[in-house]
Amino acid sequence: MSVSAWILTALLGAAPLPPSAETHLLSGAEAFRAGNYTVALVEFRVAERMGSAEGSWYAAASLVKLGRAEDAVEGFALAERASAAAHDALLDYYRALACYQAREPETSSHRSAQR
Amino acid sequence: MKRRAALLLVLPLAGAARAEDLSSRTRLALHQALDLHATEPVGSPSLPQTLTPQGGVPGMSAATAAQATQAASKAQTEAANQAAQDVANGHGHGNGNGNGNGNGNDANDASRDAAGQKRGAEAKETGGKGLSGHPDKPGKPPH
Repeated sequence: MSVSAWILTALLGAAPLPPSAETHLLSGAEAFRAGNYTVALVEFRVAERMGSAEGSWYAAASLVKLGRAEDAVEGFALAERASAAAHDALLDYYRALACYQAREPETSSHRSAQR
Repeated sequence: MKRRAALLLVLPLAGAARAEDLSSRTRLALHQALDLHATEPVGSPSLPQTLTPQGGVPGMSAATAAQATQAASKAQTEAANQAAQDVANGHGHGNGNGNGNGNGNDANDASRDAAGQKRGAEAKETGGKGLSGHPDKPGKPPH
């Protein structure tokens, strides 16, 4: 194999990759930043399907912002089961928010039952 | 041969470094996005009942509410007194019992006493029935 063939191989290696899970994670992050939580959720779900462990965590965080607390709690539990290492303190905060919101209706119904 | 070996070694390393770089960039973007919206309220906040003002008009201060209560109480007492006066004068029964606050009870008793005394005096004049303010019971004959 000649030197030019090796250079060509190296160039091909440096060429931009086709859209990967990380591309969708980035798109999801942008959408989340812009407040488009539905779009962010779709992007994170796609990343999740493409094998990204982070995708599940961030999809659950998007569900929190969409007010779907119970789905978010379930999402966080699934994400933890799939990859416990792929989260950080901020995701723990969103998880706590989801737990609190999911608990709220139960508390209020308990209050009304007491009256 | 040496060059080929070097390229074989460098290419995977370069690829790995590029992947690592993208990953940290993605992680940073994700972290920043979540951090940006972390403190925003989600949905409608449900305040506990104890935090909401109990009774009264919203926006009314405690002093204004107390003043309004005092005024209402005064009006109720006045109405009770008026009713007692009417009963004493024989203009009707009135309704001065002042539901709830008990402000009208004294006035009601007073009106009853006054009515009884009046009836007693009338009975005395006519020489008929009692002195005690109970017109239905037979009174003692005058000595």
